Amino acid sequence: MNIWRELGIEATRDIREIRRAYAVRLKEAHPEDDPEGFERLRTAYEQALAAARGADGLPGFTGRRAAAAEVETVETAPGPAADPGSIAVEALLARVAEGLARGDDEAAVSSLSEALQDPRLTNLELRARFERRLLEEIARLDWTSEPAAAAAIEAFYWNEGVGHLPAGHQEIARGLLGIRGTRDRLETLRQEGRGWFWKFLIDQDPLAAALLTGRFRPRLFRWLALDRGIFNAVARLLRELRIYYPSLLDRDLDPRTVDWWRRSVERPKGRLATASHYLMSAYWFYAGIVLAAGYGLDVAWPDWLLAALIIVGMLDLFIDAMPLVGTGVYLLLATGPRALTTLGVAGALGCGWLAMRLERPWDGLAVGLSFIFLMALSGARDFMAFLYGAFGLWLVLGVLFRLFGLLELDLELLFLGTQAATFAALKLRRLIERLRAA
Amino acid sequence: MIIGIDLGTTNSLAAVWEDGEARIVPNALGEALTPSVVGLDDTGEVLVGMAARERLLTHPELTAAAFKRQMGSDRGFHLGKRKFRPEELSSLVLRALKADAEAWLGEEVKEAVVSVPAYFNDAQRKATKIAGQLAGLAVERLINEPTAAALAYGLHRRDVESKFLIFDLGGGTFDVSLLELFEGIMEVQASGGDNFLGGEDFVDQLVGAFMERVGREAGIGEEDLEGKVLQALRDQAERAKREITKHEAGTLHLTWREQALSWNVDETIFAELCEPLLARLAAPIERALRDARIPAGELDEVVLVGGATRMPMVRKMVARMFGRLPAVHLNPDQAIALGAAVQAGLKARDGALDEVVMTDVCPYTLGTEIAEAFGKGHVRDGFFMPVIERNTTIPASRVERVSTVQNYQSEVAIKIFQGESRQVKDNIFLGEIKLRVPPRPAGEEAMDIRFTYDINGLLEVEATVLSTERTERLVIEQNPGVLSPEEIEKRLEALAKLKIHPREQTENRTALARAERLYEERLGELRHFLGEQIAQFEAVLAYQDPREIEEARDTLTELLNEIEGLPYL
Repeated sequence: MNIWRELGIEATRDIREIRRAYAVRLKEAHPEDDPEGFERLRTAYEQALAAARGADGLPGFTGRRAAAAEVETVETAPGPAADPGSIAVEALLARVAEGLARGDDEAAVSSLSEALQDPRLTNLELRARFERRLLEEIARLDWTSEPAAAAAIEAFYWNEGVGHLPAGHQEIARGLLGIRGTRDRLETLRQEGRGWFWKFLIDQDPLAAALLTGRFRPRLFRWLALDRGIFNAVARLLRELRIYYPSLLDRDLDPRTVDWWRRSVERPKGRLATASHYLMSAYWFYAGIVLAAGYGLDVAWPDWLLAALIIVGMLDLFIDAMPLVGTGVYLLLATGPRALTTLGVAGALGCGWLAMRLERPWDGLAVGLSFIFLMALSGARDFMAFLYGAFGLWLVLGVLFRLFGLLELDLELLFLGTQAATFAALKLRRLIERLRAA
Repeated sequence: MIIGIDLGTTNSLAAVWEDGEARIVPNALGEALTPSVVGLDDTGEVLVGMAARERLLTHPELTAAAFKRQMGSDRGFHLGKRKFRPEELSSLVLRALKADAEAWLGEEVKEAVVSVPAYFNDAQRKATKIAGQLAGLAVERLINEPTAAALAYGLHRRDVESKFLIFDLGGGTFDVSLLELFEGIMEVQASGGDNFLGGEDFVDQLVGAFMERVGREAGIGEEDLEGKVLQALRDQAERAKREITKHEAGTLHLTWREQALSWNVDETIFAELCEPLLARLAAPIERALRDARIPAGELDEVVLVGGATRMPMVRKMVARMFGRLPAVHLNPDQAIALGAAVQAGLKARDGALDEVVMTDVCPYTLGTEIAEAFGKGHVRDGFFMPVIERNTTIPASRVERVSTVQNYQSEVAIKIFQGESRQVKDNIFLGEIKLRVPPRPAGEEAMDIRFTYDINGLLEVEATVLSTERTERLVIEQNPGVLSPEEIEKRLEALAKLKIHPREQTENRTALARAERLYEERLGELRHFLGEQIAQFEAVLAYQDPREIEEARDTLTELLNEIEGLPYL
């Protein structure tokens, strides 16, 4: 749609002309009789106005980012400093600044709400002036008191939009909104975290919050940290908290927990230091079993263990945290005394897992077909050997990658890659054996 | 002929566009205002207006008031054994106004423009429209109250470019609208409001304070505060409120178990009591100014509308907020009805109004619930996606595209909400559309949701599945506040069976109801005297001689005026 054709004028930046054109066309595209025509006209009109206003150079339209620069110009501008309104505003601001300077949240909040209650600020013009000056002051003092930010946001409805402010001020207000946004999110997460187990089944974020708030026993959360999804969720939350809500880290959360996470998230050294925990982890556990099984050690499994592993495997269908646990399970089932029957169960679980994991059933089917294909190629016996080998390799590589952060490789991709590699290795071994026999 | 109606919480009135100007239609008593009170007489006949308001004190169980506050909900009002919905009671008021207009114009009236608070939501608007239907009036247009007032105000000021704010504090609702006049166009830039803030709340403050300071000592418990006692106290508070406005002080009287209680209030005390109410006035104004991006200093005028703006404390508050005296050119009670009549004239394409175009806005954000994805394949629902942002000029139509979040889901429920919160649980639920989609993996099925907000402020939602081109329109079913067409039919039948008190008897009935109310209120000799007067008047009524009745009525009215002063409206 050409907005100027709709308005019936040449392109212009003259707001007056745009309005006149709109008024003329409005009589034809009357909102009552021609809602669609009116809407087209209205859209054109609003776009034309926006274009004209933008070109007019509204404050901050110069392309300079930087709230500080904007604030400076405002501050040094020879404003109407002498009028009684400004004097009142400055006096109130001075009091707020005093409260902020004292450094504690309580003083900051009370000094701010006191100022906002001042009868002089009933006047909407003074209030608007106070709002802008307050933002400038916040930028100057590099303000991070979350409760005071919340009070200011509530008083001036910044959460509902900051479009009425000049660009520089908008920036500062958005900064404050960031502080509060994180607080709110954490609050929701903590509330949701209450039924953490079920949430755990469907979502990682509340779990991350629960982990950070020390809801888990320290040992347990270290295990959970092995899952990349959870690990990243916690890292993300921690990052946001550090930027926007530092006081919460110090005050509301279990310091030891936070400390552990901080170390493992931020410093490579810290991550290496946690390697001992990985030793206890499922990864190694299953990797060991799988390798043993895969390379011919005959291990007999008691029935209760199989039953327990089946349950874990079922959970695996829903829990993102332990994709590898289940993988181990069907391998174990296959090696057990009832290999063939349990293989059926394992296969069903595996297909379901794949469909879930890959979220695209066609891919799941493709993987399933590749299984059958490999089975047909190598024969059932070799295929099983192949599977053990592939999974073993996968697990080892996966853990190594995770540990050293070498690659942000998708586990699925890794899975397929190791499959191929092991297949090749098996074929090679068979070839060598045949040559030897010959 | 289309009439304009201001259907208020406390009072209602009608106006018509005639000979190039808007005129107020007087009711059967010759007054402009008809109290929005509906009751049943002892004979079962429906009483509306002043007579019903008098009987609110003597027969609270047969009378209902302030039902506008329940519009759009399924809360019922019991009048005797019958239960009425708020839209039915409103329809009885509308019917009375219609009869007044017909008597005055000498022709049948079938269409009306009815005003609603700008901040009324979809269900409340629909209920108002249905109330019109139940009264036998086609509601040609719903107009926002401040917009109507702006029409009445701006009609003769169109030549000058200006920006003004309409501050409309009615009996039950508070609305603010910011308007700009340019090139002969009246454009609402932003609207805001509070659906539960009005003159009635100021009265409640007085009632509460009376109970605290006088009532409790006299042994009136909270549980006694119902029926007659409550209504008498509210009536006293209303009178005191008016007294304070006029003479800076007033007194509440109450007879409780043979003891006469009274409490003097002056303006300072009253203003202190109402501090929390006054504080609530600022937010909608500030929001509207922000949305319109108009600094308060740029306003050319602040126009007061609504009876409650007569209170000095409200005027002082406005003066403090804007640093100037508000404009009081308009009769605050009548501006909205007059504006509705102007709109009726516009609707009828009256020649005198040829050049006027008024555009309005949608005062709140409308949108749907969506689920957001977190991490890998995890979705959490309950988030609000705005489709039409608040203060968008209407009529407006907007489309948003959404897609499925679950694998192989075969149905999508599109829930419609109104509000400003990011989480739908904090917004108002308006309705739901269910849509069948071909079961395919998540994200592969998309649909367009179109919101169309029409000039009456009514919302229509349409959803189209892209792959099948199947379209569903929203019929809001889940909302108990809105009657279905079948129910409307049923209610119409039920209402048709009601007997309406004859209009020509209104004056007699009102005088009698007032005398009966005074009889109950007063004690001793005066009561005895009033009893005699009532018996005498009833005897004259029985003779059915119009002239004698008129004389007797005038005598009685004069007597009543002498006892308690002129009745207030």
